[in-house]
Amino acid sequence: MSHEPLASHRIALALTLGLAMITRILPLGEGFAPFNPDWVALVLLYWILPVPERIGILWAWGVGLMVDALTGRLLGQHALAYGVMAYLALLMRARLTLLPLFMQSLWVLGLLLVESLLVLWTQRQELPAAMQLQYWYPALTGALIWPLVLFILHGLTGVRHRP
Amino acid sequence: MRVRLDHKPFVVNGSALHVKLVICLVASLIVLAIENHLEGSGQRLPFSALVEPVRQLVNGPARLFRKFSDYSTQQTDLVMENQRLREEALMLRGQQLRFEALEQENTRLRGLLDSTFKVGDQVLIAEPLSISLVPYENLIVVNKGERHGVRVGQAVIDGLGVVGQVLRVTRQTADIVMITDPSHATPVQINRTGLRTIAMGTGQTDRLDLPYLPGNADIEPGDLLVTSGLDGVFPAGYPVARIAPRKEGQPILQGGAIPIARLDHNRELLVVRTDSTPLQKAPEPLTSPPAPSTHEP
Repeated sequence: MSHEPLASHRIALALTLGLAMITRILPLGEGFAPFNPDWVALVLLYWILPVPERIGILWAWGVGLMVDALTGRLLGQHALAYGVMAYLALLMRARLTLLPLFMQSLWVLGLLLVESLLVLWTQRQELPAAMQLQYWYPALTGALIWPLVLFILHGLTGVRHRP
Repeated sequence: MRVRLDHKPFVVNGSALHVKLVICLVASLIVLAIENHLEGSGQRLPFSALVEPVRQLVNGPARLFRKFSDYSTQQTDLVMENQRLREEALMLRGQQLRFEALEQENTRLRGLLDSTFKVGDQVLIAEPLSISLVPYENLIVVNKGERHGVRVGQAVIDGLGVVGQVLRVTRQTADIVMITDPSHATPVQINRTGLRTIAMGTGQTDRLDLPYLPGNADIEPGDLLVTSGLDGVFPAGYPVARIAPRKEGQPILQGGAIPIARLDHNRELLVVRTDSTPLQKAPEPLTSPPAPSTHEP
């Protein structure tokens, strides 16, 4: 595992998270908007898996608060969801990083679904009204795009996932 | 010895993980509870200022692009649009003449009936930011906030009809929930018959439901629904939706209503500031009624 110096690590972390937040609220037009994956969650997962000392549950929680403010949610919705997602990812980290890419994407799908479910649960409005199939699309595209995220972020940051 | 050294950090790490999870859960619930409590009074925890730059960063290039596409429109298009707008302005001015006369007459008549009538809503023009929040939720972010006098609960309209109401305000921006949001209900009145009911959002921008109307209610396709003003949020009389055309072999209520405002592509919105003191327009009647003194407060 090639370790970058700490300072550049931190810059890369901030940059990628900022970029993810921008992509999160980018106006993509009618056709693509429902499929826009939760980039912030993907980037968080990326940073959780290789370097757990840098970014853990509390980090994820803080980032979640920012996403809440960004997307006009009640403060705490994404914080809770990201926190739990980070916890699960950290628990399974050892196994996850060794899995082949396809299996890893499936696990990522599971994590993203848990995250979406938690956001849905903390929503005020009635559950059935919000329960459209559309709601789960971003988790699906997120999992599909996970290999790409790994590839791009790996190129950007030079942090390797596999030993 | 080595085994223990390897083993120990793992256990410490593991329990720290659980502790952190519990901290995170508790903190989330506390923040959520505070927010839920504050929501009623229309405030938010002062956190959104932190992400304001991100919102502006996304909005900036999109605006620039729009400006550019505005700039590069053809001369002939501009001339045509100018012509069209001039005609429209003329037409509207003509209607306005009639409207003012009617308004004065209405105020006078209501004065005779000894009831108050608010006329002359004050509006504020707001532009939506080019931000896509959550596609399945009908929220818009606009570029006017607390600083400009936007308050929670104010009605938002466009040139055609009611768009929604202000859900949250920050200093520079405001979140607007559209009438088609599943959690939103608009008290309406059928313009033709005066029948009052409630239009519920469905989550689709081209449909409202009317769940509280009886099956035999007197409605026809194309009937205009206007705000009834009963909720104190929307001023009375703004157009909301039209009853959808009847589908073959289905009861008319099945089709719901189609919102009139262009909810999905708006460039300008009007925030109605009814909370500010309305313009008092009580013109003196030309032929003075016999006992006007009883109407004075």
